Amino acid sequence: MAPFFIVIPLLAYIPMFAYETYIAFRRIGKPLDKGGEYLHATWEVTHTFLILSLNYFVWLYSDAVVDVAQATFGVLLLFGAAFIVRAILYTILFYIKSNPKSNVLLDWLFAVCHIVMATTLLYTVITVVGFMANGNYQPNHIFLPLLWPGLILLLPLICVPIYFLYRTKSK
Amino acid sequence: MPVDTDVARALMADSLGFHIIFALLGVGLPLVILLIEQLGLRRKDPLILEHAKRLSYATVILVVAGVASGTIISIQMSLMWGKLIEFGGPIMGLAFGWEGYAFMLEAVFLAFYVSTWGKVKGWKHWLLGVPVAIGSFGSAFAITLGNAWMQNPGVLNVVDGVVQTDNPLGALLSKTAFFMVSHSVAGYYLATVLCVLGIYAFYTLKFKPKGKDQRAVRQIMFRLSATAVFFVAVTALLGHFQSQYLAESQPRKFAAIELNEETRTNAPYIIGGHWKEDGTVEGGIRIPNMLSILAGNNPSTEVKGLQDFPRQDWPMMFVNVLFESKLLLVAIITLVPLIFVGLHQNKLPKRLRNWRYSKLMLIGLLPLGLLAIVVVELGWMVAEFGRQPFVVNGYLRTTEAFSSSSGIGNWGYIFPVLFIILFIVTATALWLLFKRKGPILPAKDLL
Repeated sequence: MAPFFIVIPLLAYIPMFAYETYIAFRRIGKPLDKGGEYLHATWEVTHTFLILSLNYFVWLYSDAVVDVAQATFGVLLLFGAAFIVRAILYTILFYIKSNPKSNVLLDWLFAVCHIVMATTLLYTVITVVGFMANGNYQPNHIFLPLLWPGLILLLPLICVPIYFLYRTKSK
Repeated sequence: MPVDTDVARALMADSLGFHIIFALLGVGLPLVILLIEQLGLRRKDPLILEHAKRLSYATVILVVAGVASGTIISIQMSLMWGKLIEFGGPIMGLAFGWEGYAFMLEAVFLAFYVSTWGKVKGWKHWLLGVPVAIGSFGSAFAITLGNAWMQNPGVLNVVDGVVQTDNPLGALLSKTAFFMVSHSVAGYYLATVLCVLGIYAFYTLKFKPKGKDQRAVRQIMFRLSATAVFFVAVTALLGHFQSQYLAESQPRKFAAIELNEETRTNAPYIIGGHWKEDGTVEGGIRIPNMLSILAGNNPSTEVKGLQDFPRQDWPMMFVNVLFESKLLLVAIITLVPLIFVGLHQNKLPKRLRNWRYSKLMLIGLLPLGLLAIVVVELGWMVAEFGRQPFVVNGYLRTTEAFSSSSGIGNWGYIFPVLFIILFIVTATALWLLFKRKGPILPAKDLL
């Protein structure tokens, strides 16, 4: 059942991040919408799903990390750099910039960061799947019984606020 | 040591150094906001609630930076320290798995809490903040469990370079973990409370609040300073017992921190000295018997010396300088809030009580948060540098934990630059949150 912990958060992340990417492009050239659509669609909750998936892969398949790291080294660093640049631009666009007129360069950079992140992540996922399919890696089953109760408790607990967050956005 | 390992260590230290700032505020702010919102609800004061609301927006800004820097640390761990992950995976994986849950709880409820100001009111809204505080505490708890295991892993059964265990929970929940978690989390709360206290000192100096605003600000400042005094006492007490246990469980690190050359009873406590290359101590003021008393409450307590350990196992010798700098800063951040709280005593003459909000007192409160953050950083540096040359104490050397991914030297330098920009941008956003909105006005829709 170890892959469950990696795949489920990743499956939740993909549509949420795809939507973020879509609205990042849609907002280019439009007046600054503080507290508007993009902010409400994320609040940075989206990325916690990715962190969860990454975390579980690294620690559940710890014997695969060295091999996978060598194959994805540059790509993952590029992903990391794009992630920080996106965070910098996010803070500038939604918390610093006071002029409501759009800044097309910043908007484009912000949107392109999403594409770089998506591309590098896709490459990483494909590489990892390849390794896992061909290698003989064994998950750390020993602590799985201590992770299940947390997941069972957490999922219903976070579903309610996530539902309300996204409902707020659609209004 | 290979150059790439040094680069990897520098990069990891840099990333952790930045992340700790965002993380400690992320851990502490939910508690501070709950304290302020509770004060506002109890006193039915919309002004105090507005203060809590503005601070909650500051937390969101910090989460943006925290999510990015935290993800980078995960990636850097995987890319550069894969052999540590492989070695300790069966035990550390549990801690990091829990951290994922706790962080998700914190992030989701923080977004919910911030976006429901004015929509969900009164104690119901306050309750939405409780999972944020639990999640942020849980994140710190879980991560520190993993680190505590690296500091003091106990007796391990290692097969083919991987730890074997049938009880990962038992391995994580050690006495070292108890001291490290409680001491560090209390330190995060203290640092955050002092940061917010500094913000209110600045607010008072800049906006000179009058009437109801002045009353609200002073109530908040008193509550924060009383909380700071509480955490000063807790952190100091825990720190003392942690040091005593350190002498027993990690004598190598203890000897390096406390400048103890050789194993002896009646060991002196040395203030201001430093290590020489040959493992002897130069300079400093020696207080006879004091180190033995500190380590075991008795002058006859035997304290192990650094020279009893093989030279290749000595930690980084500057840890004692870091530790003494930390103690000096701790003295400052202890004294000022104590004076501030003390001046609130009703028994004091009015002349003295009026000093509470004097310009000098407020200026004294301004830098405390920053100093407390430096104390936290120094504390972690002492813990990490003091554990060297091992990454898992006694079992896995840092050089062995490095998975030699090529190109880290060429690529890695981009991250410190990006972290500096992220730090500046985040600090600017926090500054503007208070500057642009000006004095706080009562919000009618919050009660």
